[in-house]
Order: sequence, then structure tokens, then C-alpha cells
Amino acid sequence: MRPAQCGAIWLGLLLVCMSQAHAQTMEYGSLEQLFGEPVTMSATGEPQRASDAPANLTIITADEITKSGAETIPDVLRFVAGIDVRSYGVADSAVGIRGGTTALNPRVLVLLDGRQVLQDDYGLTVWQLIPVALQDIRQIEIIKGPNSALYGFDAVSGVINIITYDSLDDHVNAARVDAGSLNALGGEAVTSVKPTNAVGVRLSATGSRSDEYGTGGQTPVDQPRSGNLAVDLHAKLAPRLDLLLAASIGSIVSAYYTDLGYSIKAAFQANSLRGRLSSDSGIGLLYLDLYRNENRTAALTQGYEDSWRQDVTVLQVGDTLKLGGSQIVRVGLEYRNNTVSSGRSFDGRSGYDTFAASLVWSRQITPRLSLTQAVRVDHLDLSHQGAQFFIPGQDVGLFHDTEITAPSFNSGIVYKPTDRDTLRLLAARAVQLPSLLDFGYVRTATEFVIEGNPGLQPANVLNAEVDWDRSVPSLESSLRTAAFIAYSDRTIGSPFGSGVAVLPTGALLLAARNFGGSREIGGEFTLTGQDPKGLYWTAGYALALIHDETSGQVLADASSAAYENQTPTHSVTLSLGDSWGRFDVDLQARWQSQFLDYRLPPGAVSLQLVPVPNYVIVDLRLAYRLTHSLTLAVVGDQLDQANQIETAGVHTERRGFASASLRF
Amino acid sequence: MDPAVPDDRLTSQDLQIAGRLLHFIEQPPTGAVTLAIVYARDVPGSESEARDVASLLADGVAVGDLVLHAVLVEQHDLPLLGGYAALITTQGVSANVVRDAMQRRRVPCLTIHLSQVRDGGCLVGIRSLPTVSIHLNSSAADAVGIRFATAFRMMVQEQ
Repeated sequence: MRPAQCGAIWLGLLLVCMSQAHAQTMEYGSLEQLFGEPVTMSATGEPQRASDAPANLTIITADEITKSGAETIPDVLRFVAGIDVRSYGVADSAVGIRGGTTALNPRVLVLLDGRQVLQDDYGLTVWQLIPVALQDIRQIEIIKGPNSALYGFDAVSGVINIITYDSLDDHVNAARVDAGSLNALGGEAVTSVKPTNAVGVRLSATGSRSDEYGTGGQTPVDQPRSGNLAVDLHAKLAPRLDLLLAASIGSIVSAYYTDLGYSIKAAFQANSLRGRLSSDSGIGLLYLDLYRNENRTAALTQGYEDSWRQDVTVLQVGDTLKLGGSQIVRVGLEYRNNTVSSGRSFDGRSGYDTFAASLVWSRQITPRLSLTQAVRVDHLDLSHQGAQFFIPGQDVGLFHDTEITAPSFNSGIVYKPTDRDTLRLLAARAVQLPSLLDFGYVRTATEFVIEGNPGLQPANVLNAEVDWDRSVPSLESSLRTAAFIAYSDRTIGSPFGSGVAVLPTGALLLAARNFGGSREIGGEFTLTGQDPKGLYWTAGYALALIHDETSGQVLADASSAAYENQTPTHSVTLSLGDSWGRFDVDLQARWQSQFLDYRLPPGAVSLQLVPVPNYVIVDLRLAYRLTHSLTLAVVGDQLDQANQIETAGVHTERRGFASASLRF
Repeated sequence: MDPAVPDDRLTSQDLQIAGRLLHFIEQPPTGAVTLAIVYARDVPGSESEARDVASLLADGVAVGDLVLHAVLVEQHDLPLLGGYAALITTQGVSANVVRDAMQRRRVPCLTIHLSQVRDGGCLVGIRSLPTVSIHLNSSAADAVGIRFATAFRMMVQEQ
């Protein structure tokens, strides 16, 4: 059946079911107020209290985002135990979960309200290109560990789902302007209007610019700048049927550090369109979700200009229904068309169609014990349209069609032996797909040949985990402990980050390839608490012990495949704050152990490993609530060090900001 | 748990939950809402429990966009009463009387006495401590024609 036919049938089913349906679908705000804790759909696709989710789920609330004083989402994430953030520039951050961090991080799936914002072309997330204002974020949901059975490829080391307020159910009008060192100037505004009781419209805009770290000329862009505009509409077509329409555009020009081992001047543009129908029907929570992301990437480095466009269209349909009093079943189908095209590289157009079917089944065995099983099968057809590519001196063409069928699963047992304790036993198999660039990028010059590899195999990841949550009333705190073991059977190396070979012609060959596997043992320990007067604290420790099976010699210039080198083994995070009347003081700190990053020295052909020593960063926010609506704040980033080596790229610098936030 | 409040007494936190879960029934009430606090005169402690609940609501309690008010009613007088959006039952109230009222008025019954929910004499059992727990007798709800949002049903303990 063609996807369009499938979608039409599902739409018809939705409309038929309207007559039997009876209420709204997922209302985060009302459910959170009812249960007194955040709620989520990210773990299994079904509505759940965060404490019931069969996953290692961390939720960062809107209040925590405000208190962080962060200007960007990576700045919010870097103080979460188990998350590694590398700042390669003022607008370039790499975010990894539970190690395996690289300059790009294709293993972390990032979503905005369930829409993928991870770019499949290069397997990266351009964080400042996500069209969301920080003040419009209800919560950031972080799942540590694989979740392919729900999300498919790429949800390998974790998922970050940014949930915004609802344009119909929530009333958000907010604005913020900030200015600071490095000639930084930024702002955001979001407004929501309800023309009728059944229609809500939201507009949001963000923009920023700042001088880059370092002195002029150290990076290819002196002043990165970005801007985004988004609009969405939530209409209650009937008391039983909801329609969401959303559109966004955005762009950024920035230095961007890649697995090449240096920063390139990059210009990204992203447009998206989305429509989602959902219904609380007599046969469950039905949804039909259709979106399209268009990404334009231009590498503007002098002497190596490149550009391509990547378009992904995703159609998802599904139903979540409760059977009897104790079982919930979720069925889902997904079609994805993902292409990348360029006249300069890719020699035409490469892409794939993916068909996926998933099933989630959960059962509340007793009031204190639940079991969740999720399975998914993805089938991918990869093809290329355009000229065949030949490596000089070889007569076998590179491009060929490929099919990949990959099963994945997630299993979880949640047991609450007492009112204060929750145990989770989790197991998963996930699949990381090579990026489009890994599959089909090609480029030839006199001195070098760069080629993707349509024969690359996906990486299969197995993960087992034990979590223990315990509330400690005597400390007004809750404790979370997690221990996991993971194995990836073959690491995917990008064409730029897999090392260099020399062809018989003397030219250098940079080719994508699979490497050996990788093993990891790790865990997190987090103590979170708050006293009735407002003092709050979160202290965390994360361990990530990784062993790559490929020899260190081979990985010495394979930046995209060397997880052991690039992961700090230990990290400690601390968040602490209090309020006195109208004053807030919030402090965040992080220490992490040393790791190795990659750099291409000028004139060299091979990457060099660069030690990044252990370091501490301390951020401080002082805020004064001038009125109920207006808050003034000063924020100091990296107060403890004027300059800090965080990566092999430019050193980060101490910065200060002043901001005014309005919310009404 | 607050040691000053016996665990067989409805608390102000329980009332907040009661008010908020009304949002998840089909055609939820809005604005000022009256809760009928039902007691059994011949059951020791029932009336005093009801009066405690009524005192919590004496000045009206705001819950989201609702303002909750109370009216005390002895169970045998319930058929004569109208204008309420939900029932709150105390210990010892007759399941048959409550079922009849729910069916006639199409309103839900809420209680902290979980045995009444298990027996089908009331629809929703609520507890706010140590964590919020909500028990729904969906068979009883179906029987009296009261429907809850599916997302809500998926997040509570159903029987």
C-alpha cells in the first residue's frame, strides 16, 4: 500500500471515530496539576506520570530552565548528570548522552514536540536552529539509553524531546532581551492568542548574535548569528478531534566544528511544516502526524565550498488504547522519505524510504508492578539517482541500491516495593543508521577523494540497565541511581572522520567505513531536593567507562568512531539556589575528567589527538523580580576561569549577561 | 502524611485532586461547582466526616478554573437534591443510593474510601499522600454512563 493511501485510510478512520470520541487527548498542564508531577509520552508513546515511565527519564521543567540562566538549550543540558556538552563556539555545541560523544553526535535523537530536529544529512543537531523560545518550553524530556523501539533509527544513546506549551490550552506571552560580553545581543518573544475558544495560535521568534571566542581570525566566523520564526495553530475541530498545524523557518551562520578536526564556516537553513490530527476516540488515542523538514547546508570554507539540501518527509499513524483495566497497547506505522541532493557532492541525489511498524504493550500486573514490551521493525530502501562515482583507478562504481531491515526492542519492568522506592529493570536493542553523508557523499579533487559507502552497516546497540529511585523525606530529597552496560557491535565512521588512506595515484582517500564494536559500563547518581522555603539542590555524578574494540592506532585519526578517547570518564554536576523575597540566586557547577578531542593541524593530512584536561565551570545567576511580570537578571558563565579548554577548538571565555524577561 | 489528619478524613489536598479530575469527564463542569457531601446518619462517624469536608469547602475552594462549594446531604434525601456536579461519599453510605443518584444526574462519585470504589458504589477513589493515587472503577462508570478521557484512564489504576 502506498503511504498516501495508508494516510487517507487512517484519516477516514479518525473522522469516523469522531462520533464515538469524547474528550481531549494529552493535556500536559492539567495532568501535571492533577498528579503533582510532570507527565510524559516520550518513554512509550502512552500518557504516563514521569515516575511510572519504564525508562531512565529526566525532566527539566520550565522553572529549572529559567533558574539555569541559560541562553541556549545546551547550556541547560550541561548540568544534567550523564550529559556531555562540548562548546566549540558561542553558537556551536555538541551534546552527547552517556559518553560516545563526538563533535557531531548522531547517536542522540533530538525532537521538538515529537518532530525530529536531528539532521539526518550529517547526523547532527544545530541547536540554535531549533525554532523554539526558551520561555515557550514546558519541559525538556531526556531519556538516557536506547529507545529505538519507539523512535526508530538514531535513538541509540538517548532521546531529548523538547515539549512546548500548548497554543490552545496554555496562555503564554513572554519576551526576553539580553546583552553581554563578546558583543552578545539576543532576544526572544512568544505570544499566543485565542480567536475563539476552540482555536489557539502561537507565534514565536528568536534571534541572537555574538562575537566568537578567541581573537579575530581564530575561527572562520567572527560573529555567529541566528534567527528563527515559528507559528502554530491548535484547533479543536470538534470536542473529540484536535488539529495541530505548525510551520517554522530559521537560519544560522556560524563556525561549526566537524569530524574534519577544524571549524568550517557553515550556513544552515531549516524550514518545517507539520500537520497532526489526534482524536480521543472510542477505540483509543488515534493520531496522524505528517511533517516535512527541509534543511539547507552550505560549507563556506575558502577552497572547499560545498552545499546540499536535505528533505525528510515523515508520516506517522497510530493508536493507543487501554484494554481492560490493566493493559495498554500502542500500534504505530511510519513512513519516511529522506533524501539529500547536491550538484557539488553526492553526484545527484541519495536517499531512502523507510517503512516501520511498532507495537508497545504494557501491563499493570499489580498496583506496584508493571511490565512494558516494545518492538519495532524498520525496513529501509537506499538508492541513488545521478551519475555513478568511480574512485580513480578503479572500475567498480560506488553507488548501489541497498536494503536494510532492522528490528529493535525496549523492555522495562517497574517495581515499587514501597511508597518511597521505585526499581526499574530495562533492556533494549537499538539501531543506529549511517547518515546520508555516510552513505553517499562523494567528492574528488586532485589531492583527495572523499566517498561515502552505501554498503555501510547500521550499528546495533544492546543495553541493560538497573535504576533505583528513592525518596528521602528526612533530607527532603529524592535519590536516583542508575547502572548500565551497553555494547555496540560496529561503530559507524563518517567519510571525514574515519582516517586517511593513500591511493595508488597518490591522492588521499577519505572513506566511510564500519569499525569494531564498543563496550560501555556506566551509571549516574543524582540527589535532588527542595525545602519548603525555596532552597533547592541537585547533585549528580556520572561514570562512563568505554572500551573501543578497534585498536587505538586505527582510531588515532578516526574522530567519528573513537568513543573511548572522547568520553570523560567522570563528571560531577551541582545546581543550587534559593530565593529571598524578590531575589533569586542560582548557581550551577560542573567538573569533568579529561578526554581527548581531535584536531587537524594546519598543513597536516591526519588528525591529531588533543588532550582536554579536567576542568570546572561555574555559572551564577542573580535575579530580581521587579514586578509579577518583569524579571531582571545578571548571569555569569564560567566565572571560575577567564579561558577554558573545553575542546580541541577555540577556548571558551568567561562571559556575563544582563537580561530582562517579561511574562504576562 | 500529616499526623494531625486521620487517614480516613478527606484533606484539602484530596479536594484539589477531586476538583482537577472533574476536568477529565465528558462535558466537564466550569465555574462555580457544588459538591454533594453524602453521609449516612445511622453510621457512626459518617456525618462528622461529612461536616469536616463541608468545613474545608465553607468559603469555596478554587481549583483551576473551578470554585468548589459544598452541600451536606443525608443519603436518603439525595433523590430530592439537584444542582450538584459530583458526589463525595463518606463512610457507610449505601452503594445503591449513590449509584441511583449518579445514573439519574450523570455525575461522578468521588471518595477516599477505596472499598466503595472496589464495590462499585463510587467511581473514583483519591489519595494525595504519600503520592497522588487515583482509582477508577470503569465498569461502574460505564454502567452509569460517565466517561473519562482516555489519557486520564491510562494514568490511573482501573478496575
